[in-house]
Amino acid sequence: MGTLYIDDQPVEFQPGDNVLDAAKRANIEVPYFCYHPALGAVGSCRVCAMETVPSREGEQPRTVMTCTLKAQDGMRFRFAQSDKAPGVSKTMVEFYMTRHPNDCPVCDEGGDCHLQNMTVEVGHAYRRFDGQKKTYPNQLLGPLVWNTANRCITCYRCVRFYQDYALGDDFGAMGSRNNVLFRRIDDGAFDSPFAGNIITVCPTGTFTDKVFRRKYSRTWMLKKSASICAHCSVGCHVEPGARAGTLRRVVPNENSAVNQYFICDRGRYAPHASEAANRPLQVKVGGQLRQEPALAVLRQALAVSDARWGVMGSAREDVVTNLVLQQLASDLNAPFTAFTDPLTEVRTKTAVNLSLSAPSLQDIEAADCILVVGELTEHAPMMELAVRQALKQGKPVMMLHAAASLLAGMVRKQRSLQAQTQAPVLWAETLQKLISSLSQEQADGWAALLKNAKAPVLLGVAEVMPTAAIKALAELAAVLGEQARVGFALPAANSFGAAQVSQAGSSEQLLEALERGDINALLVVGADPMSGWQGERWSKALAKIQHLVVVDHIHSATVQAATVVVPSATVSEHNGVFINYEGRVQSFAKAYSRETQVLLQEELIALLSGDARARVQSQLLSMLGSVMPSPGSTGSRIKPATLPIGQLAEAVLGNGPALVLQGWHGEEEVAGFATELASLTPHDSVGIAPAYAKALGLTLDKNSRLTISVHNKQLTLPVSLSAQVAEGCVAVSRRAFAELQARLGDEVKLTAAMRLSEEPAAPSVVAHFTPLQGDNSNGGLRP
Amino acid sequence: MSLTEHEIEHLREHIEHYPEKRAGAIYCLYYVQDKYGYIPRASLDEVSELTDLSPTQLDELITFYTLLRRRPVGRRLIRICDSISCYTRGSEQVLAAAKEASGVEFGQISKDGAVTVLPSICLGLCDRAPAGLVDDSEDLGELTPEKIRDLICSYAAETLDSKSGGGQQILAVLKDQQ
Ligand code: SF4
Ligand code: SF4
Ligand code: FES
Ligand code: FES
Repeated sequence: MGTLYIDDQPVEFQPGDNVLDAAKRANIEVPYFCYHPALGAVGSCRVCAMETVPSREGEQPRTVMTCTLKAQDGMRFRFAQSDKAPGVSKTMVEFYMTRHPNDCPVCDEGGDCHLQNMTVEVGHAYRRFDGQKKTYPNQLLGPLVWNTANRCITCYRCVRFYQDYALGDDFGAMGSRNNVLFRRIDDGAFDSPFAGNIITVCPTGTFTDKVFRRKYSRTWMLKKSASICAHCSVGCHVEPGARAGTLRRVVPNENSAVNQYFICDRGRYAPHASEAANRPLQVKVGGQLRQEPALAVLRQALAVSDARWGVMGSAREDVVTNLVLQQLASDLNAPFTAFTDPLTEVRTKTAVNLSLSAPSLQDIEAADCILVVGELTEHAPMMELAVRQALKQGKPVMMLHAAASLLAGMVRKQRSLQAQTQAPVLWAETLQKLISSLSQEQADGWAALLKNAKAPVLLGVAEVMPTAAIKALAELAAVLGEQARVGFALPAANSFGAAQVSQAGSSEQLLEALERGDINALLVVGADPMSGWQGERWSKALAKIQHLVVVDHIHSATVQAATVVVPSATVSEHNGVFINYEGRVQSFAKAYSRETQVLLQEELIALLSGDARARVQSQLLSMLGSVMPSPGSTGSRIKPATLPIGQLAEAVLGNGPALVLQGWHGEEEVAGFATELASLTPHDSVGIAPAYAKALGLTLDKNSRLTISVHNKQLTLPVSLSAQVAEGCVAVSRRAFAELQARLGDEVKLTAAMRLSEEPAAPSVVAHFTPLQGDNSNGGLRP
Repeated sequence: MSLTEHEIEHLREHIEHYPEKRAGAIYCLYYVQDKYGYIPRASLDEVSELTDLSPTQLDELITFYTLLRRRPVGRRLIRICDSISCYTRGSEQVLAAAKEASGVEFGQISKDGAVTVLPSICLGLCDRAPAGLVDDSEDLGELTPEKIRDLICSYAAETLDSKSGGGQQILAVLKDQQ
């Protein structure tokens, strides 16, 4: 805290501010390029100039770069009043513009361009340079990010984000002098789950959103709103932008205490599922498209006389929708669940009960010791980015996992012993051992690191952790004392909320009611039970019933099997409330309406009786408290009472290899319908550790294939040898799980299958994303 | 394309002399470049294994230093200075003549595989401007367009085996390019 003076105007500053921060806070428009609040100052662009005011006799005024000066009480500067500083900024910008093309009219950055704003702001309106501009080759970077190399002003923000902040190592600064290019060694998509952020940090149009550019709109014409990302339980703040009833892009919503400046690529690109060609946009009854309004059709469908209903909500739909559905179920005297899988329900609820002290992303960044259980990157990318911040500062990060994970690779690189692979069935035991070694006088290894930490953080991935392991992780936190925090990445954006509105064992009860024939009609809103962990059971049960009414915005397996399909709104198309993994209640606002009418989830309340509506209100009140957070605000955290859970048998240790999930960071139920993101889905393979393969008597190399057999089902896949897969395990994708109709932890048989030919693998999907013909955005200067 | 066990052993030994593995990166890269005439993509992965620098970090190094290269060059690599002293003494004309004599753009390999011409920053031979450097070892001074033309012609006349290494390999690369 303190005051400094700019042009004699007092400016308050906060601890840790540099002079540029303080000036920005006071709305003094100082130009800057290389500085970014999350990336820090490097003082390389030389435009944030001010002049010092001599405080002692004989001292000369100096021109300084304000981003590199720590704010101190009583400092004095001249900015507008200086005869030198503005000239420095202006000259620097003029220099940058000698390289930069004058292609603003066709540039995607237009309207959001920091370079354009600064150029105008410093008054460099007239270009004197009439020499030839140097041109640089663009690089094809896969389906998500577009590169126009000529526009770069070499502020280094992109690499500072990519390498220094996000610890990526497949993108860098190549060259020297006036021949610097920011690129990858090889063409193609980025490895990092956070690559899209280079679009956000780049102050020019060098990196732009390739999906947005195919359905471009001037950014000031976009309809925007303060929304919440619907693609994992972190609940990042995002700003969707839409035009003419279609979604064009999603960017991070800054100024939030949750995700601050960034989002992951899943959050940026999964929402484009709303524009999928096969998205249901019209009511369909018995396979026939209908013109009637969605709500009327729904009312009619629910009124059929011979129906005994069940109702299914969803962990990816908001809290109010689920509450309304729960009350609708009670009006219909029907069983209700918000889960598609009994095991996931139990694990989610167990984790939610133990999440009362869950760390925020900032807590994770500030932790001095972190233990991660499960493949965090693949389930909650931004939570993992927070872990990378601690890792980067050299804080000990330990990881217990069963399948390959990007984070595990990083942890290994730092200290090879701190990432351990183990079959999930053994995790609880390992954690219990850790607990008992904590109580010993001379704790060593992981126990010592945890014991000596002042702010340890324990993170788990609920979907892949056996219930006993979830409990053991929380117990470990309890033993470590109050300074320790434990949190869990939950399976979906509103898993926390969904857990609050379903009875113990609700999904199993609904499934059994269907299987027994107690109910013959099911209303499903925003869920796809037929593709989940219990896909096979649901498919069988649903095949028997007369009425399957599905409300959704993706062309899911369940939608395809429905007798009545009602199109619904995506998260950018309606208002609602999600509860994230910390129990943080966050509202999101509708950004736009589609041209064809889709059902807004908030309209569902019209289906309720008066009594039921009142119950929704009172439940909402008791759950969330009286103040509903406004969209864009950070929201407050709720501490709900312990949920009843019920019992469920889980997989036990077998003799043969157990199936574990090989996820990837762009994967999620809705994300699978976002064409560009989904095109990066890794090829299916069966992951196995070389040592374990050997122990099983299998001789494998990169051209081997294996046949997995489990309950009468077989699947043959190429082998991916990875020391990151635990002993006793084979790792396969969700798609392979579905095909095998298998569950997490199922024991399988492996047999060698015919080898792949030695031909090089087919080129990756990236090749399909060559630039559009006639694409002229780099001013016609093609590389 | 990969290093032999013996070569890897040698590089490992060399790297051990440094307090940090990455300090040995430049040595390894030169070693690879001497072997192949340039640094191929696959070698980045090999050197990365040895030095704990990512392939990207190695490429950043290579592209920063002009004496390291990622593309094959002709049997003779001719650098001609285009910095200030040489420029004032006519390096532009020398470069133009060299380009013409080689028959290809700067940085490319002449059709016969004999030469690659590259403009260079100051070579520290300003007193002999316009200056050049052949194969990063033989210096050239007081260049004129005639001199450089003669030199390139003499390289073209060299028999393939008159210079150790490279020749066949470069012709193979050229064949690939066609
Ligand atoms: S690409 Fe953008 S962020 Fe990267 S250095 Fe250039 S201008 Fe800066
Ligand atoms: S971390 Fe989760 S909530 Fe955040 S942007 Fe990514 S998918 Fe969305
Ligand atoms: S913002 Fe201060 S030097 Fe770039
Ligand atoms: S300027 Fe050419 S050698 Fe120095």
